[in-house]
Amino acid sequence: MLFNSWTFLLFALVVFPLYWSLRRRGQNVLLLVASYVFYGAWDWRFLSLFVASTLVDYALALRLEKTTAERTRRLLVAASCVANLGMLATFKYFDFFVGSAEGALTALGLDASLARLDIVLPIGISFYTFQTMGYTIDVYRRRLRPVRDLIDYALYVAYFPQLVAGPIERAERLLPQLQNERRVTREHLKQGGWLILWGLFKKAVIADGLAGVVNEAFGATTAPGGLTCLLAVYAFAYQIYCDFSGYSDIARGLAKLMGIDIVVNFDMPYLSRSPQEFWRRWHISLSQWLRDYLYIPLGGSRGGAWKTYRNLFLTMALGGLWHGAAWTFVLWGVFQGALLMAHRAVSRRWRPAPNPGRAKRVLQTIGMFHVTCLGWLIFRARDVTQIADFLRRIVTDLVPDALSGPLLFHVLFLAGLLWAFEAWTSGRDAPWERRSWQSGLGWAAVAGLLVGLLILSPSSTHAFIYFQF
Amino acid sequence: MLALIAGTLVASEVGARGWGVESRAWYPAVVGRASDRGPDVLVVGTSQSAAAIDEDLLARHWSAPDSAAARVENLGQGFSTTMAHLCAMRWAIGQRPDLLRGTTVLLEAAGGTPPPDGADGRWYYPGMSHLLVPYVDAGLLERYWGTDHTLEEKLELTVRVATTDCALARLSDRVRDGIVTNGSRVVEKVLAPLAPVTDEDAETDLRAKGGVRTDRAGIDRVRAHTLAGGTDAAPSVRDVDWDATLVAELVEFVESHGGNVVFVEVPMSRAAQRTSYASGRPDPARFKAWAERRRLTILRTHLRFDESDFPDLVHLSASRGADFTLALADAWRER
Repeated sequence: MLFNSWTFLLFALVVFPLYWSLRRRGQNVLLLVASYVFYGAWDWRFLSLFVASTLVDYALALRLEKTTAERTRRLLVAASCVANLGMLATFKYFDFFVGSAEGALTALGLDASLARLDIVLPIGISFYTFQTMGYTIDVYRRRLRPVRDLIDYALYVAYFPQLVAGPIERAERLLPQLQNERRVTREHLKQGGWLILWGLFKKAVIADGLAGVVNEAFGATTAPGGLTCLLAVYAFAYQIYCDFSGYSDIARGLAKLMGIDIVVNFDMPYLSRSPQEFWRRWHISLSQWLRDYLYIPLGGSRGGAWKTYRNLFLTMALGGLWHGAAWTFVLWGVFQGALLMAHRAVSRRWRPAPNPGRAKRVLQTIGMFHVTCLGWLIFRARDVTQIADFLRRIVTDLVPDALSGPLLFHVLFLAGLLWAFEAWTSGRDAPWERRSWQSGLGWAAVAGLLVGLLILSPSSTHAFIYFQF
Repeated sequence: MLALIAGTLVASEVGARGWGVESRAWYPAVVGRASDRGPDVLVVGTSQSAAAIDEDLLARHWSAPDSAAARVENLGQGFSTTMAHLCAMRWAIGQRPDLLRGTTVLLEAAGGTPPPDGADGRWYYPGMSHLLVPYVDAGLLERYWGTDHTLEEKLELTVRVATTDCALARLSDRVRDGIVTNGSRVVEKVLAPLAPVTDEDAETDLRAKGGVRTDRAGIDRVRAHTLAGGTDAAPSVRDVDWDATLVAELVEFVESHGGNVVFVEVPMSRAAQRTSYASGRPDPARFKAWAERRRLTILRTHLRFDESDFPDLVHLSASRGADFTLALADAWRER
C-alpha cells in the first residue's frame, strides 16, 4: 500500500477517525491491526515471518532481563542476531549468493547448477529486522528494560508509518510514546499536515516526475550520449532523495497526526561538504544504527588508524549490502567506505580550515555533490558494465541526444522546485515560524504545493525505491 | 489548514472552468460531424493506423472511381486501448443511435492480429485516462470492479470517473503535458546546436495524426524506446480465445448497430514486432480461423515494407502510408 495511493487514502479515512476517538489501549490495538492490514495488503503470506520476528525478540528480551549469567545473556542476544540475520540471509541474500557462487564456478570452467529459493523479497524486511534486533541488543546492553505488553511491543515493530521503509526507529524513542497516553495538539496537526503535503509533493511530483526519464536512460540497451548519461545521474540523485525523504516526511507527518514523533531521517544532504557530513545528513537513522550496532562494536576509532579504517570500510560495505542483494550495492558500500577512509586520512594530514570562505564552501558542496552522484551511478546501474559505459560516455562523448532535452528540463524544473522550497523552509517541520512565511506568502506556497500536487503528479505512480530494501 | 485546502480547490476549479478545457476531439468530433448520416468508413486503432491510413486518400479511392467520395474518419489514436474504443463507441451510439448504420469499421490488426486483451487487460495507459474516462458509465464501472484489476486500479478509475465533470481534473493532464512537452522542446532547441548531425535527420516524413510526434527529438525518443524494449529471441506463440476478447465484443457491438467490421493488417516494423511480442505473439493462424468462422474479412495488401519505411520504427512514413492506403482501397474493392 503506497502512501500516494487511493487505497491508502481509504485506509487512512477509516483508521484516523477511529484512532482519535479511542484511548491509548484501544489506539494501540487499532494501530496494530491497521499495521498488519497495511503490511498484509502487499502480501499476507509474509505476515507470519513478520509476526515470528516480533515474537522471537519479544521473548528473548524478557528472558534477557531475567538472566544474570553473562554467558547465557550473550547466547540470547546471539540468538536474536542469528534469527534476524538468518531471515535476511534466507529471504534476501540466499539466491544472490547462490547465483554468485554459480557464476564463480562457471568462470572456473565447472558446470554448476545450484538450487535456488526463488522467493519474492518480503517488503521492508531490512528495516524491521534491524529495528527488532536493535531492541534486543539495547536490552542486552541494559540501556532499555524489555516491554511486557505484547501489544505495545508488536506495535513498536509494526507501526505502519515507518514499517516498510523506515526511519529505523530506536526502541528508547518510540516505545515510551506508545506506552503513554498521547495528546494530539493543534501544532501536531499543523506539522503533520505540512510534512504529508511536502512529502507527497516530493514523492509524487518530483521523484515520480523524474522516474520516467531516469528509467528510460538507464533502461536503454546501449549507453546513451554522454550528456544524457550525466543528466540521468543528476536526475537519479534528485529522484532517490525526493523518493526516500518524501516517504520519511509522510511517515513523520502521519505519526504527528497521532501525536507521535518519529526521528528526522534527512537534513538537506546535498549541502554536505564532506562524506562524513553526508552520512550525518542522509538516511540518518541507518547511519546511527550502523554506528551504534556495528561500527562501535567492531572497535570504532579506538584501536588506532588502521583499525579505524578497517571498521569504517567494513561498516559501509555491509551497509551497502544491506541496501540490496547485488554486487552494485556492495560496490556502492565499498565506494562509500573508501570515501570516508580517504576523507579521514586527508583531514588528519591537512586539517581543514574551521571557517572557510563562502566561495570555498560552495566549491566543496558542488564537489561533494558530484562525488555523491558517482556513488548514485554505481547504486542505480544494472551492472558494472553499465557503470563503465556511462563513465566512458561522460568523459569522451559529452554531446546531447534525443533524451538530453527532456532530462535537462526535468532536472532544471523539478530540482529547481525542490531547491526553492528547501532553501525557503530550511527543511523545517514548522516553516511558518519563519518571518518570510508570516507575510502570507507561506500559505500561498502551501496552496501552490497543493495545486502542483494535483496538476503535476504523473499519472503513473512508482513504488518507493527503498521498499525493495 | 483544512479551510486553505478547501479554498484552494474551489478557486482552482473555478479557474480551470474559466480556461474552457472542454474537448471536442476523437469520438465527440465524429458525432459532431455526423449531422445527417454517419461515416462510411471508421478506422479504429492506435497511432499506427493514424500514421498508415490517410483518410482523405482513402475517401477518394474507397468506392468505385465513378462514385462519390466516401466519408472516412480515422480514429487511430496513440495509447488508445480496445476498451477505450468500445466505451467511446458506446457513448457515441448513445448520442447518435444510427451512427454505425451501414458503416464499415476498419479495425487495426497490426502485424496480423488485433490486441488479444480481455476485460482483465489494460483499459487505459497511465497519463491517457482522458481517452477512456469521459465514456465510462456506472455499468462499465461496475464491470471494472468485477475484473482482476487491483483495488488501487479500481479506486483510481472510480475517482477519475467521479471527477469527470471536474474541470481541474480534466485540466491536470493537459497542463502537465503542456509544461513537460513545451519545456522539453525549449531545452531541446537550446541543445540542438551541440548535437552531432546524423544521416537520420532527413527522415521526418511522418503524419502528425493520432498523437504521433513528428519532431526530430520525438522521433528519436520513440526509436530509442522501441529499440530498448525489444528482444532478439523468437517470440513464443500465445493461444488466444478470441471469443473472450474485447475485440469480439467490439465486433458484436458494431454489428448489433448495423455496421460491419473488417480487420486491416497494418504494417509493423521488425523492431516494433520485437517490442510488441516480447511476452509472446498471438497465433495469427488461430486468429484467421476465428475471423473466418465469424465471417469477418481481413484486408491485407501485397506491399512490402522495410525498416526505413518507419522513421521512428513504429509508424509508417507519410509517403509509404499513402501507398498503403491506396493498396488498401484496392484490396477492398477487389475482395
